[in-house]
Amino acid sequence: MKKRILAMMLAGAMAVSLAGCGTYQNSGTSDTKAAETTTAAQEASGGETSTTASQEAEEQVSQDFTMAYNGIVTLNPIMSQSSNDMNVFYLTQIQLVRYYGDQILCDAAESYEMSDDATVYTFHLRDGLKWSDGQDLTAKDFEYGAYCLLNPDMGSPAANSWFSIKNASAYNSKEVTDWADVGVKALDDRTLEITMEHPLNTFDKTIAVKGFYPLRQDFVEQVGSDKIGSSVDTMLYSGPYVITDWVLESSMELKKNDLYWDSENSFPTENLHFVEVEDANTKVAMFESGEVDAIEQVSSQYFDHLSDYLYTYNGGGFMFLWMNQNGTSEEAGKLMSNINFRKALSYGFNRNATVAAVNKMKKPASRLVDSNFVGPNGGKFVDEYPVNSAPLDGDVDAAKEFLAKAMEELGYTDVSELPQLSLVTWDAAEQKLLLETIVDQWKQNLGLTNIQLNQYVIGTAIGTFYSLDYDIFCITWETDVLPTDIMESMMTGGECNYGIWSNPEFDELVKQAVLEVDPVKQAELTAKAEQIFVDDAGIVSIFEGSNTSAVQPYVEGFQMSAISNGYQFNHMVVKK
Amino acid sequence: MRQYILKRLVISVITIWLIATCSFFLLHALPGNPFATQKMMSPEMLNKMMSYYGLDRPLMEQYITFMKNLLHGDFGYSLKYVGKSVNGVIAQTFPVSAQLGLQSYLLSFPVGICLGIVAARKRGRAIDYSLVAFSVLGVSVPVFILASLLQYVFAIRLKWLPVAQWKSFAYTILPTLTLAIGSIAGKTRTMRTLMLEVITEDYVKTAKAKGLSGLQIVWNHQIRNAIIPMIPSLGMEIVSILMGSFVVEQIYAVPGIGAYFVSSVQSLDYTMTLGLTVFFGVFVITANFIIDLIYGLIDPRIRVVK
Repeated sequence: MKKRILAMMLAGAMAVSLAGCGTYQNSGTSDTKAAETTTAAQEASGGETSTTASQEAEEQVSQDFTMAYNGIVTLNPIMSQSSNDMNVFYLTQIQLVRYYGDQILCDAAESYEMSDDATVYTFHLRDGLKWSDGQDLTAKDFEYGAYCLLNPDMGSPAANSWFSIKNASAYNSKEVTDWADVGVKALDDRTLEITMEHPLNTFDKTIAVKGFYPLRQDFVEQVGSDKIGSSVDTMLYSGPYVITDWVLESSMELKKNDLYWDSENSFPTENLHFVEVEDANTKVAMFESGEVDAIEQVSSQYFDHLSDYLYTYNGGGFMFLWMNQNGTSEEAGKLMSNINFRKALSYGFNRNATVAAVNKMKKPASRLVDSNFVGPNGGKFVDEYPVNSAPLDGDVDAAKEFLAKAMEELGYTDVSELPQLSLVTWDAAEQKLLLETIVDQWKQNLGLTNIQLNQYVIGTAIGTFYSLDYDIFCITWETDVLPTDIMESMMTGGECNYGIWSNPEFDELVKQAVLEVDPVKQAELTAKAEQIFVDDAGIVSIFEGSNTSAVQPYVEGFQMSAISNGYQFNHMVVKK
Repeated sequence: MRQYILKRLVISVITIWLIATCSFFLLHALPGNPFATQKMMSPEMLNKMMSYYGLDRPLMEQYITFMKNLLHGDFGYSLKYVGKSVNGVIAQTFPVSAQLGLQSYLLSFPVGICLGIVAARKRGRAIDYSLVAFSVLGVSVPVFILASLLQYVFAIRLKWLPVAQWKSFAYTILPTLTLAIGSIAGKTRTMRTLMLEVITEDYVKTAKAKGLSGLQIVWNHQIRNAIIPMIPSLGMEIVSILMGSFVVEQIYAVPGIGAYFVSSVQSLDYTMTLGLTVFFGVFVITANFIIDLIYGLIDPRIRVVK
């Protein structure tokens, strides 16, 4: 009986997701001026564009859009480890399903269904899908793409994103050697079946976020798997655009792909010109002189200057302070292991004021769940499940109490006796400003003078993160598809927790939440785990990640989002 | 002379070997690894990547592989730009940097020399003072200020030239000017000083007494003597202008080699950093070698002294 209810609920959830397919709606994730034009553009195009309207508009519509973008390092999805690459893949490769704002759209898949026990997904592909060289694109190509991702000899850094697929992890670590045992099968040219390692009701979201791009075997073998995607000619395209020219660290030219199944109704701009400009000031100068129509990433010092053109999305990750309980010295380790000391640090600075001083487009945060996540009841998860965490304005009195308690427990009588602590981050100017602001507040509010800020170049800084050669480390971690993803990676022995913090109760709750298929129960477990995470202050968040672009007012429908990477230019029109 | 060349050649090769070896071990001694980016990776995945690229093998083994490939002129594949060979990156970016460097050199050398001569000839006059003022200013204003200023005036205000990028000749004008102005200023100063030194020499007086025209004296006697000390610096300057334009390349979004060099060191892209270091090393040493030979040809005294 219970099982049947569950199955019905799952079917209901599936119907919702299926109904979501193919409808274009505004995401509503952004709240700036440019976002308003986004909405207007969607209303104007309205899903089904009437031909007369588009003819009228044609005279003033420019087919060219130029943007200063964050350059990419490879066209090969298998070897990519950068969200910048993913932004471009959104335009150049087809996906089974893809995000547009917070909607999941069917792309290569015409429809898909999930089995009652949430372990098998079946995707039915559209008829007549083509590669950019004119050959048919079939379910086999998706299976081969998965094979390349998981094959240990291909060395894909993205393999572990797919370990929820049956035997994927075992195949990647050579415990299983027969590809036939892995849960990805092309049943025929138009049917792809994916079997999960354990019940998972959100695998479609994983696909929409992480890609799962097709690759064609004969092409990969002809080019050589180590060469693929290293230049324009060594990649095949299947998405709304093809790349016609790409100069590393300089520029990229994209042209609309007429072979894309939905080319008539989406991605109206014919040519996209991306230029890579490293100097922040030059980007702004090019924007002002009209050489670029948009800047993907604007430095915070230009926010006031470009305030009329900004487009921001929040989320996707958090800036964290990682508290290393081993410490750089024995004494430091003891201090960092003291929960009251860690709480004193978390409560002892004003996140709102810090963010206002450093980068006003960021969103201050003291919890772990991304503010974009949708809860089981349709609202935002963070609203539906509030937690009791450090106030964003800080709480100096509480922090002082925590500090006094910590000193008493550890037998210190004065703050000057506390051991030296090393706060490490990488050498970005914005990081310097951020952490100096925080260290200064700890000094002012709590009298702590023992925290030393050390900045290294990124590679070296992360080296110290891996070798645990720090007391406090400051860097972002991405939130991924579900709230539980980041929690899993922070569990004891998790992906980003090399022994700095451990709480068995948290671990247990997260494990349960991951395996839970009932959305409400899952959310409750997630919220409980989040509360423990916040209470323990083992890893402390400062603000949510964000990206701020500058877009000229004549560009309508410019869209990017934190939920899934991608230049979501599905309805972008340049009226120049 | 042949022995001299041979000796210089052997020393050059040893220097290059030392550069390659030192940079190899220094680079590998840095904490961190090439896969440490802001987007972080689990230790398990990291180990897989390290073994995929052979970075988990003993350092000496990696060194021997590196040296073997180096002997074949193969710098290997970048660790950051998947599937891109370092040789390919050099082939793609060096010509751009070289074009920028040469253009600015072709502009700055004659102009700098001429201005220096004019300043020296008109010593103590208004034109001399203004040229000295220009050269002090040109040498002391940092490149990034100058670049922003030129962008502001010529691209944003006057709209004559594009702000940045590298597409046609028009795009090369501002970066060339930016590089050239500092260089012109330096040369004006040096040439002025050198000219003033020779102006009082006895052979100049003799020439005057012979009744030669002013222009003839300047051309045949003063410049030829004054310019000699400029030549050894010429070699170093060509080298530094070819590789040292990193800031200009960054500001004007020029797809040159400088950006790679800096970013590859920062991201610990071992193969790329080593490849570029050795390439620059070979380039500098070869340039110096050639300059030494030319110097000997121009000034017979140096050949005798050796």
